[in-house]
Amino acid sequence: MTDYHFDPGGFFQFDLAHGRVRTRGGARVIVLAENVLAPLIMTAVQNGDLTAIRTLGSQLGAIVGQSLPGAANTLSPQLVLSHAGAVMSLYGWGRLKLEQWGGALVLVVEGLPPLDEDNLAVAALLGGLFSTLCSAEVACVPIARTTKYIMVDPRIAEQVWAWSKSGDNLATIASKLSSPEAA
Amino acid sequence: MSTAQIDRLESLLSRIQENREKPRPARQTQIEAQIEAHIEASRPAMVAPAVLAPATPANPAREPLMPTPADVTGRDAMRPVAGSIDRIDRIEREAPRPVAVPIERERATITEERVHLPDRVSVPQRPAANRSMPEPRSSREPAFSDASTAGARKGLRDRTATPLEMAVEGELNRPAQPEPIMAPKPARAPTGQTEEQMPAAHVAMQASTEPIAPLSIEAEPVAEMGRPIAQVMSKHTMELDTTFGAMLKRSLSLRPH
Repeated sequence: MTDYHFDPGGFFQFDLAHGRVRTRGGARVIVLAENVLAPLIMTAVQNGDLTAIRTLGSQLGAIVGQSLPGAANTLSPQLVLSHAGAVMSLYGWGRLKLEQWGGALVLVVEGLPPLDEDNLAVAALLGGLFSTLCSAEVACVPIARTTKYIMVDPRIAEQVWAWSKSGDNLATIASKLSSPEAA
Repeated sequence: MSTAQIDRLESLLSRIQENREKPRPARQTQIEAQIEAHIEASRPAMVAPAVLAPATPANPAREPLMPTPADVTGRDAMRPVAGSIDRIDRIEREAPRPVAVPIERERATITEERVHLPDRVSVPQRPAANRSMPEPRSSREPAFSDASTAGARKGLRDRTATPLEMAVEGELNRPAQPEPIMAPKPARAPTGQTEEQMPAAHVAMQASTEPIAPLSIEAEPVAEMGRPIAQVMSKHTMELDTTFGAMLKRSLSLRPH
């Protein structure tokens, strides 16, 4: 399983003659400066509509799923994170890591450009990515003042977000969560 | 005067008196009238007051011997004579002003312009014979830029001669100009055609010093890159014992307690 590495070679096709950039799958993309993207994301956050960012995450998840040798749920976390992190890096969305706090999975994204203050845009991006990749509804709730996102059921996402906004750290939040099996 | 001369004059006067008393033929009277009219026409100082004089003749005694010019030429009596005399008088007054006067003024203007050249610029001196030549029209154009000079020059030309006369006079007064120095014709490949047989466009292109050619600007082709434009800086790995699906399922099952 560990032999399947993500191959980034030739991922982007720069057609300089026609001024187009396409991905391996044929989708056309546009390279944006971060100081251009930030105001667009700020506007989306202020309007409470992050659908476009979540859609972008879904597209990235589809790319990751196509690069994997099988269904993500059946593959090792290392392989899945390697491919997901590679696609995130290719698109410039920082470096992706995976942590496990108790029974909770926590995503870490480093090297992101300054976007919105609460990192809600990246949370929407990650939610769209892993929801598509794993064929399950996933909510990635940002932990305040960190670069970490806890992966939870969307139905408890508001509660976890409220804990995070109240100042609870990740260890506290993880301790407030318990699996039915543990109960 | 001697007595013999006095006697001779008296005899002549008596003969003249006798001739006047004789009846004259009409032909002789007409010839005398023509001579009289011609004499009067050649004496403007004496005729001009007659133009201004009233229609009634001042000397009725001369009336039979002084037929009007209308009788001689059949034209209007006094106006043509007065007009021609006035034109002759004007020509005599303007005769000292040749047509070349404006050209001389233009030449003076050009000389003043040449004085403004820098000191270190060496102006080739033209031969004395060439200095009297009229300048080409193109080189004289700046001198006409002065409105006052041009207006004065135009007035002089209008009064001196007609354009046709000026042109003819300019051609007659123009000295023989030296042949212009022609640039050597560029050597061309023998085509077996004379210049008349060649197309007009081809001949025109040869005549111009800089041939006109279309200028097309195209972007340079993109050079082949030695390494790919997109380059991966790093990648990370993670070692886990279980599947990603199992870990995600457990995380999604968490609930607040």
